[in-house]
Amino acid sequence: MAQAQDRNRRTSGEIAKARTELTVASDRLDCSQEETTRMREELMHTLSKYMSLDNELFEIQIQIVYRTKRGVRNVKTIPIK
Amino acid sequence: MSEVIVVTSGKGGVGKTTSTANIGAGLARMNKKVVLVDTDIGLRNLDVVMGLENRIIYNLVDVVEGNCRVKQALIRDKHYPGLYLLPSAQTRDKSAVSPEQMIKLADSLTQIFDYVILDCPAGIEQGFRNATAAAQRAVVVTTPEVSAIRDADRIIGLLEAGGLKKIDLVVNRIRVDMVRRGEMMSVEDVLDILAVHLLGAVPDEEHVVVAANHGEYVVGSDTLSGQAYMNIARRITGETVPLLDLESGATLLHRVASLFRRK
Repeated sequence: MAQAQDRNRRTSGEIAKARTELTVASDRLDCSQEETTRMREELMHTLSKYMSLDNELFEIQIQIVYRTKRGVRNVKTIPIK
Repeated sequence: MSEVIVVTSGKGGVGKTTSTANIGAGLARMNKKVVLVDTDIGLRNLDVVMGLENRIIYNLVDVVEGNCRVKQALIRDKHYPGLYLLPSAQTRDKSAVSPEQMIKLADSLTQIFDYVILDCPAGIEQGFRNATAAAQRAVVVTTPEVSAIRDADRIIGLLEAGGLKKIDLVVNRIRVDMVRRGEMMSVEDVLDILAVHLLGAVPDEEHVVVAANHGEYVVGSDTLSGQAYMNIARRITGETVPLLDLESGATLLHRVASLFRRK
């Protein structure tokens, strides 16, 4: 319910951005949007046992580090909101 | 020192071909020798965008197969003496050319031109692999839409995996009025997600369609989109050009209103 209200308040541009971020994140991680959402919820749940967290603001950042042949690191940060 | 640049997007219909033509014309306006290569074999359209469809004799596949010399297949532009087109073949398919042949072709073109710009077909199949294999630099074109950005991200990943170092972004078809109302992602939003270097943003203007209808360029005209493409061309040559204020077309009232709406 709270989410439905939130959706009404947001402009379509903001919704488009959130949807793009989710799609791009799941593409990069090669894991479905349901899985990334569940992962976020489980992490939120686990961490909530130890600290007080705001579900609205909670965001995970996954850093994928590629190591190329020449030893150069290529870091890609994937945020999941 | 010449450069081979691929213009690509993943998704179709975002303005790759129009961008290729206008960037090429922009570079030609700076007195560079430029060749635009249509690498979409079987679906040629750069020739019609440039208005040169009636002058084609030989095509890319003829050159690769040795039916003619490179210079015989090149078509000189109607407006710019330094701008040439190497058209694609309409009656063949993508398997007619291999990445190795494309690299060889690009090499021979760098002997003649300052800039070799490859208009890449949509998708990530053979045509994409052909065009990107030969390039040292990529211009990724996208629009502020979920589908186009998603595909652009995938393309950027593939280009990086292929070892391409210089990848720049062009955000096409920005509608300033819609961005202002919050009904379209802004250039900043797109950059936030894709995290690549921005080469320029092009507003969605009727002039672009009208120019393409005539087989002409918006670059060189007194329009925002024309200026945007000219700036992109200048940045490609290494010039530092400040980003164009796309709002300048808006009325004063709109601009004041948008000041208050900004968070």
